[in-house]
Amino acid sequence: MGEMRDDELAADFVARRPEALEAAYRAYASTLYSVARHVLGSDSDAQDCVHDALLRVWGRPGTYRPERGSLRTFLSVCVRNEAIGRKREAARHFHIEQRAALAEPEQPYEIEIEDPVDRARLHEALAKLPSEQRQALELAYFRYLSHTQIAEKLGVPLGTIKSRLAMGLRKLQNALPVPSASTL
Amino acid sequence: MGEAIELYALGALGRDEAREVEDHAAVCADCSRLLGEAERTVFALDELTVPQLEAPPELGARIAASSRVVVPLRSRRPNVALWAALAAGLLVAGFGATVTHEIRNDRATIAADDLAFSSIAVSHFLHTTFTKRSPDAPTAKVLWGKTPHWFYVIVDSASCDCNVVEITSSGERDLGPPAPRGNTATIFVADAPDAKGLELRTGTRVLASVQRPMSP
Repeated sequence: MGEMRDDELAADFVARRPEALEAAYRAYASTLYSVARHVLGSDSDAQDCVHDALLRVWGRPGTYRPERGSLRTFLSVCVRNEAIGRKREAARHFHIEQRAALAEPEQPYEIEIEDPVDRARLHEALAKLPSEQRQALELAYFRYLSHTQIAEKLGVPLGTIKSRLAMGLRKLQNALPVPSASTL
Repeated sequence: MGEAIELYALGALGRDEAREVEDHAAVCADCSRLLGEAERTVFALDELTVPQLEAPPELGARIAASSRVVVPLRSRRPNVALWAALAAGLLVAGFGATVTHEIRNDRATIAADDLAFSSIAVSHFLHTTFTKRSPDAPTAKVLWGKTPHWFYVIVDSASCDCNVVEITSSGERDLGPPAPRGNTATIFVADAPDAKGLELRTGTRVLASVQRPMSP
């Protein structure tokens, strides 16, 4: 199977050509596996997660459409959401991680990024956000808490948390070097 | 969808809420575009924070096998033009081509069986028996995986002239005939969260049906 361009992969995916899922995986394998592994922390869990997320998308025609942007971004977010869902289910099962997360005292999240340039860019982008939006975003993005968990943890109404998350992400969109859909 | 778009991209919704967003985006171009923008921001965060790792080679093989299990089911229906073309091809290519074709089929069958058996081995599942709606209906059972939502139909007849049809709340999906396995015929679908039930049909005639059981 030769190298395919992203737009060709996306077109084949939308057309549901039989080899399209396998081709998309091969093109984005590192991205998808890395996201799952980062969230779940285990190789076998990450493999199960990527496998099931891709099969779930493939089994539901129409979930991806070209207006949504790049196929790589779409699949990456699907895998990330699947991984977060699994992490939350595991926490519910054991009732340990979740309680610990909710009971932790407020403290700034230590962002582990090796590249100092990337670290500086992220800190700079987050620093531009109002503190309450940054706090909600960090709990959602870095600690994988749901909106209801964040509301409970911060003792803030759910509607307020939803607004903070949405506004925070929209502002981050302007602060981060977000690639355009065509270059992803 | 309002704020649900950003919450979905961040992974901050529950599974049911996320499913609603996905369903809506599938039919709404504007929301799909907004969702794409939010997803690009999360992807940009990932690019800064997620160390890139090499994916294990066995994962690619597993996904390839699974995608072949789900997709070709529709194409198993007998197709006169296809069989005519195959027959012509065999006349030209001779016995060697026949052997190659059979080996490929065997590999596909092994991959399908491997996925089905590994799913059964590692999952919790329920099993139900099809209710016969016609005197000529074969005996058939189905195993329903709980998580993920796979199902595995086993028909007690290798020569059942029937298709398996998946019933969902939004319609139905013809999965084609089950594949012969010795004295039985089977069909495995790796991901079917929306299945409400199944039917065995010959043409439009329903031979047997079964409802997906509620999890206890």
